[in-house]
Amino acid sequence: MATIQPIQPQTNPWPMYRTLVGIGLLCALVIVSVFEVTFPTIKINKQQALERAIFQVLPGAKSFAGYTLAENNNLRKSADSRPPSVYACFDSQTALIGFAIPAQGMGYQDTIGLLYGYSLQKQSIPGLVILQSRETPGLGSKIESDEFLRNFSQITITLKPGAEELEHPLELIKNTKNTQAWQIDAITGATVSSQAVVSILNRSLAFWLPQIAKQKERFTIEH
Amino acid sequence: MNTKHAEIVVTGPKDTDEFIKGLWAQNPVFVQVLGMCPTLAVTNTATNALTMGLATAFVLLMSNIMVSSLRRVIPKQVRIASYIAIIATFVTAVDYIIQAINLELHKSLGAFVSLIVVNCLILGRAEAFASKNNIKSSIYDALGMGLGFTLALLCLGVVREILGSGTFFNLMVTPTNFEKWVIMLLPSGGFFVLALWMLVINRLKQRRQEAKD
Repeated sequence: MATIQPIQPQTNPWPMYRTLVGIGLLCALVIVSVFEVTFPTIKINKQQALERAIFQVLPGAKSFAGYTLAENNNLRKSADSRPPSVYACFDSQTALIGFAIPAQGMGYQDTIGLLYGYSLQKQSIPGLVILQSRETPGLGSKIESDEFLRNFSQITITLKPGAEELEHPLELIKNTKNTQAWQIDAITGATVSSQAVVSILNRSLAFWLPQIAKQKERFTIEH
Repeated sequence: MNTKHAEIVVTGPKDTDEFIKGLWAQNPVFVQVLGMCPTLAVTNTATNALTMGLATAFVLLMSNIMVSSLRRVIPKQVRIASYIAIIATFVTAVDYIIQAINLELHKSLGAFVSLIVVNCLILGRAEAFASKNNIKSSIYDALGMGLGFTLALLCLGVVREILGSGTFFNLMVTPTNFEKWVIMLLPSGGFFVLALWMLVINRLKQRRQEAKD
């Protein structure tokens, strides 16, 4: 016996295509217009935020220039399109005084992004700011507190003879008295976040200090 | 004999009613319980709550206007896809606008600005109201719902900021020896404060109803 198939109503797809393409074009127009209007202001805001952060982590810096890693770890002055890997900082006499280095790594909740300064004269980290953190409020978020960040400014960080690796990587300690200069006290209740900051700094310093030592002559300011 | 015929005039709700319903009777957070993700996640400070509320209200207003204007040309089979595209457009726009106004604020709201796209309040109003009503009514509806949402977020943000950080819009309002309630800054604190506000509002409604009866 032949089965009777229900008649499917035929839908003309043309109005659907027309609507979706039309709405897509309209939406694109709105997005591009808003982007064009806001982009110059956003660019200025980002530049100002970067300047504030760099001058905060390396007191005494009056100007800076961004450098990007190229082939074979060679550092080149950044073009506008690529975000710099490191910022060489100069004083008012245009002498190189240190570097502001962005670094990031996994924290307790999410990626922690930070920017730290490295002073060539003192061989220390005079300043450190947390740029991105979603650590637990009240606990892990204390990595942004002055009390914790101040720990790093007291430490001298040098390379072993041969300038290939750090003499004393930073070390996190908890519940014990700090006996060595390179030891950092963990924040109570936020060991993972404290360890994350220390590990990020160790990795970054271990990579950058030898590069800086090898390529020091490349860092110049142009007028 | 002259007879006068009674003229039956069918009138819909007034525009002011469309506006007011979002503030109280159909408040998106306390009554409809919509948009819970930003309600609990970004109300840890009053500033964040106010910004998120205003950003959502802006997206709601613009998407309601666009959906209402295009309601006769959007086939029903592709209406949801069209609404999402419209909403995503205005969310992208608001994301750029917040970055232009204040980068720090944008940073503190994190991914939640982008997540306005999936706020069911906005898609809900597009589907339930703007697609069936004229532009004027849709504007009043969006303004009422947007303001209602902003006020609700602000109610949570103020309480959480005072108890969790001891501040009100970043101004210290508690004594220096005040022990901060860290839980208020965590999402679980958001649940507690939301429950308390709902309790207060339902109690007020109940008392009003009892007074009427």
